[in-house]
Parts: sequence; C-alpha cells; structure tokens
Amino acid sequence: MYAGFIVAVLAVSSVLVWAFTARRRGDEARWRATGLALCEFAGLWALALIVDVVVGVAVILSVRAATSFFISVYVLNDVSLAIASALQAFVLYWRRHSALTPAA
Amino acid sequence: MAYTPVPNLVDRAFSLPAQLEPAGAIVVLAAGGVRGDGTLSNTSLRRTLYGIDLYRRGLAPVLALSGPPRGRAPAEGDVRSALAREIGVPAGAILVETTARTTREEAERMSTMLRPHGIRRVLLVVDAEGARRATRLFQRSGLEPLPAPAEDVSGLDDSPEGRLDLARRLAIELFALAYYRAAGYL
Repeated sequence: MYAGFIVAVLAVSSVLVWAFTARRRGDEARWRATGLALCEFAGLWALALIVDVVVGVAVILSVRAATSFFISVYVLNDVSLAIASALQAFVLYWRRHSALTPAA
Repeated sequence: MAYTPVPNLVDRAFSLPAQLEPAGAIVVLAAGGVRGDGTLSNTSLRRTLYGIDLYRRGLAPVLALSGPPRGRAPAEGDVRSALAREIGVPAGAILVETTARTTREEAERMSTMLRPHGIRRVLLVVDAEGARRATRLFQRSGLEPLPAPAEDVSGLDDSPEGRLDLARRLAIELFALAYYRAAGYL
C-alpha cells in the first residue's frame, strides 16, 4: 500500500521531469546513457559501502586483537555510513568521468 | 528491495519461531545499551519488558538480564534490573550479568552463572533475526535454549523504510553468522 503509493509518486515526478526536459526528438540515446550512468553510480555506491564495512570490521577486529580496547562491530550499523558511502561513490564517479572527458 | 516484500520473506525464512515453554530461567540478551540520559534504548527496553512479561506469565522463576556498561553510562544489565524491580519482579528472582560484550561472551557467562543453580533450560529473549545464532551459541555453552524472539517484524513492516531497516538487520545478522562460523564459534 505505502510502497505502491511511493512508487506512483516517483513515476509521476519522473514522467513530469521527462516531459519538461525531452524537448526534441532523438533524445532516446541520451536517456539510455542517463540510465546507464544511474546504474553505474548505484554500483559504485554499493561497492563503496561494502569496502567501508570491510575496512571498518578489519580495523575493529585488529584493535580487539592487538589491544585490550573493545569496539563493538555495531558501531558500523549507522545510517551515516551509507550516506557517506554515497558521497564517496559520487566522487569516484565524477573523477572517473572527468578523466574520460577531454579537457576543453 | 524497499518496494518489494523480499526482505519480509527472507526474514520469515531466516527467523526461528518462538518456543514458549516452562524453563529454569528467562535470559534477556543485551541490545543497544543505555542512552545518554540513563534510559534503555528502544530495543533494550522492548526486550526487557518482554522478558518481564514472560516472567509474570510464570514461564520461569528466574530473570537473567545481560548488558555491559558503555562509556560513562551505567551498565545496561543494572538499568534493566532496576526497571524489573520497579515493575514488581522480586530482587531475589533477578540475576544480572554486566561483563559480556558479545553474544558469544553472553552465552559463556550466562552458562557459568546459571548452571551452578541447576538451570539448563532457558528461554532466550533476542530479536527474531538473531535467534538462530544466539541459540546455537547457548547450546554450545551447555544450556538448552528455547527461542523467545522479542519482536518479529517480518510480517508487520510493509513500509519501504521498514523494509530497508529489515534488510539492514538481516544483512548484519547474516554477516555476524558468517563471521562466527569462520571463527569457529558455531
């Protein structure tokens, strides 16, 4: 019920954005490229999050093994990590594409 | 994932059903600790109240509460114990463990604390997702745990945000299960 409503809202707003921005014919290729860019960004986000969690767990287990200091693995269960991972993914995406684009 | 029932279905398949039978003790595992104002976290409060409810239903004569101190906050086990006494559980029926920091340590120390009292069969109050791992750890420690999940949200939460939270909880528990297996704890 809630999920269906939110999906409907997203669909309507996406169609509105498309209607306002697709002003000429032949834009299909650009939309395809946009879809691919979205998939690439989502993949980078997932990758960044996995790397962050793995690094976090490795550091925590190393500290536990090397010292008497105890850090709970649950400190990684924080939504800010997912948000920061998205920012990392954005930086990675931007750097990758700015490197591919020839300088003017 | 947030817009499909996949997290609910996976959670339902992964969680253990409640097995509420008479036992020697009700063991309430730590969860979330104590907040800065000295009150229990939401998850900890929910588990504690469920443990008290099981005690008042007469399922066991002993209520064993777990939870270490974190930072400057008082020990979660002590705050839980105070709450249980305020609600009417006799102090003599409460056992507190405040040194265990992981589920594995909780299993070992609860076993050390309960077995001298002749208690082997325990009702294990834990989240539905964590019941599988906790039950195995308590079995390995020499106790006979009966899962008593404090909350089963698999069929309740159908909002996208709730499903994301459920997926996150499942991911954490699957990761913990994999780590415990790799480390030889299970």
